[in-house]
Amino acid sequence: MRDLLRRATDNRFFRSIVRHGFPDSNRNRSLVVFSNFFMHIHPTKVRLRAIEFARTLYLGGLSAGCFFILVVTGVLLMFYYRPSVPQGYHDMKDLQFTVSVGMFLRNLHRWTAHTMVAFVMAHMAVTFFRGAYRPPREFNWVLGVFLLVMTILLSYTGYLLPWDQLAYWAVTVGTNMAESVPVVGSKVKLLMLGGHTINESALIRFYVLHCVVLPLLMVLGISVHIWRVRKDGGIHLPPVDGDKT
Amino acid sequence: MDGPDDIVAKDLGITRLLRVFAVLSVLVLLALAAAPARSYFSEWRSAQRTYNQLARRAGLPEIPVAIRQIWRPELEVIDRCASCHLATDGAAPISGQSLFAAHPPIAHDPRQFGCTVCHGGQGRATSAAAAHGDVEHWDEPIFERGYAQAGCGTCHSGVRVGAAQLVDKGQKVVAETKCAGCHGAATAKGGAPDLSGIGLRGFRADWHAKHVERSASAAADAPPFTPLSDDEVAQVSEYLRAQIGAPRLMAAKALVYRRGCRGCHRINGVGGDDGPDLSNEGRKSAHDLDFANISGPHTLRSWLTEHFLNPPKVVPGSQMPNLSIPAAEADLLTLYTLSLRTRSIPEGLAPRDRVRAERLGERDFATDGESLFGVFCAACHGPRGEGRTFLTLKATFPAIGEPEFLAIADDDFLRKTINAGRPGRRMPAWGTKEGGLRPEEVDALVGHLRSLSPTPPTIEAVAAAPIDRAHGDALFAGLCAPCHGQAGAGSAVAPPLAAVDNPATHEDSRIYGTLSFGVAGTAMGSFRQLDAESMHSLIASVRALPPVSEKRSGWAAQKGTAERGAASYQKYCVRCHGLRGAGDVAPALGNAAFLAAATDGYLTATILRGRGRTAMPHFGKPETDHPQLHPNEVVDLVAYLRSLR
Repeated sequence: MRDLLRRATDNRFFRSIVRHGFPDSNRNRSLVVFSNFFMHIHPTKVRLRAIEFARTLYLGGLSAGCFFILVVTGVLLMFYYRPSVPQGYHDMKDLQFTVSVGMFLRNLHRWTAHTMVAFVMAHMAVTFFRGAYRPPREFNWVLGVFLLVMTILLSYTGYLLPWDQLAYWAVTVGTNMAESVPVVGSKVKLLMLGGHTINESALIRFYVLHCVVLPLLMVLGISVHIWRVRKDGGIHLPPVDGDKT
Repeated sequence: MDGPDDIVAKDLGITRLLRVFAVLSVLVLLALAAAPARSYFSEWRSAQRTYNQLARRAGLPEIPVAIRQIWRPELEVIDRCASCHLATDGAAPISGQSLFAAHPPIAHDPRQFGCTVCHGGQGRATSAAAAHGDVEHWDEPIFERGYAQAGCGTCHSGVRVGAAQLVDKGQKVVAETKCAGCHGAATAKGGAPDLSGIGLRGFRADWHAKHVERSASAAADAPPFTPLSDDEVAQVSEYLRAQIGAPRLMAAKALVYRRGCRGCHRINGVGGDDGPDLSNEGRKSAHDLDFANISGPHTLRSWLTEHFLNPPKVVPGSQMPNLSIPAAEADLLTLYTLSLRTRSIPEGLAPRDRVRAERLGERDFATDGESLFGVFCAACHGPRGEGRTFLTLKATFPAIGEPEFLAIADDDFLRKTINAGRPGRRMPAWGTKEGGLRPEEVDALVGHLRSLSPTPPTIEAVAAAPIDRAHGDALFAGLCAPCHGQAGAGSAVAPPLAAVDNPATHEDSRIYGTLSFGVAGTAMGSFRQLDAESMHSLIASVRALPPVSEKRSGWAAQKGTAERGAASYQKYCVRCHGLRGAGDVAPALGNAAFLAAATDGYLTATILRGRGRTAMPHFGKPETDHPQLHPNEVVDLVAYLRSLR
């Protein structure tokens, strides 16, 4: 088995992609993480206690996983959705009734979004109660708060897109809340809606925020967040006497 | 792959976690597999497979399995109903299968405008419940069985209801002449068109002449055509115009236009404003309604039906009176109300009736007096003008069809009252309000009211009738003496009948004319309800009056004094008519529009003759609660009323 793998990886083509040898030594194992674009945000070395399920409940990873599913399903939904009035509503109905697995896509996107909000909240609670927000990880806590806000904004902007009554009134309530802010309230509402009523201009704003601006900020934030975990010394672990791993 | 020796996975329970992940991964894979399966084994696919099986058995062509839809972008219609109701869109109908039956014949091809335009429901849906609108948050569910004709109202908002009496007669003529012999649906191949939708398509005005012409030149074996009279042609034409292929809807609309709903409710811009505008009532969503007092299902249909049966029960505090509508009529009214669902459609697709109503301002009801009375007046004044009292409105509507009223109200009074209404009261100013009546329609209404009064006996009948002087004298004492005096010597309100120089009382025919038609502009109303014998006897009594010294030539109706009249008003009138004629249980007399319309003669006659079948007493004769008023008192009262404006 091992010989077979060694032969498969020990050739010029494979080495042109993955430069290090088969990870059977500690050096090569380190190189797997160092030289891989997708892995390099991880610490090269992880303490065994840090990957224990009970320690983090894997909530950060699950949140990121949700985000991944949302991106995939979201892109697929974008193939069918036109952000205009009344097509938006009709496209949503077509997804429901005529697009193959369209209803599944919609439901997956919707429920994953709800789950993601729950996971992110829970992740923050665990971080808080474990005391993991304390120095040296205080900046990552701030980043985490930023990501929570992004998550909620993504959820909120996505709410308008079906262009049904629920969407309309949810956004009415939301923008009226913004309007009640002293001094700048009405300007904020105008900025959000791109007009004085919830109309096509509000829809396109919410669409661009939901599909482009916020996801980009989110990807950026998640990347920095995970990278900072490594830079801040990995997962927060309480000191244990005689800790060697 | 074995891990390096320095990592002992099971110490940390990683193996158990891996197992959990394995199970979860399988579940995810199953979910991913189930999703396409669910969308593949859909209701419409199974319906189409069933169809294909049945079609194979019946030897009919099979259809490719695919979603079928009617797409009409100009109407924003995407209807996928034909995905299951296959025969409505080209597939061969299969007998005995209601799902695969052809659409019943209607005036136009169902594919022309799609399904939901008429039926409601959710056209884009591909599952039965969602398509029929039996899902939460779908505001426009499909019409229940028996109410489908309400769907015509989406476009056909201006279908005209003909004059009921003509339509009924026309129907009889059509049945008697056996038009169906050639025009019946079963025999409609030899060129004779089916008549069930003729009103929608329209027909040439000279159809009768053409029939006569053609039958003259037709082959001997052709069915004979018996020419009709001009009246019959008019009746049949009116009947044919009502044949739009939706008999229940037409019956419902005719009922509404007989019940007088438009007296209070404006519909498509025409009607009163006391009740809510009903123009879009059929589009109301069940979410807009309060079902607290509804025992049936929570649908617009059941709300409307129960509301018609007992409005104050369904909407506590509603002004809509309980009109004791029978269940069958409530059902029709519901159908009609559901049909009030006009939506905007491209001009090019608008049916003729709609263009006529909206663009050319044509009425969708017949404009003869009787029909107009049914459309606008019947709800409050009663179908025959018998007057009504509604507790919910705290109002009594005058009995304007009452002979006593018509005998003293001249056409001018009626016209002015209809035109200017009674400001502050329920009677709108039909002549000036938006959505009211046109001048010629007001004239037609006046004519109709006039026709409600009894026909006087003919002058020949009167001349031939026997004379009973005792009866005549009694009539004179009761009908004439209150104004003209016992001896016919005249009074402040009426000229001396027995004066030597009064030409009107020296000829039977002139007395007959006065009794039958009254004298316009004076207090002399008609007494046309008298039969020939009574009238002849009365004429004889008038002719037999001994001459009096008063002269007709110098006589004129006297003006009274308002101050003296005020005292009488306080004594006899204030109880019902309120302080200064403000109106209470009886009409408001101090109403500028009323005073402008009513002549002194009308006021005088009303006081002295009373108003039959209402609480207004007859002051021309003594009764338990009031004495007989002397004409001088009456002119004072009239002067007081005049001072009230």
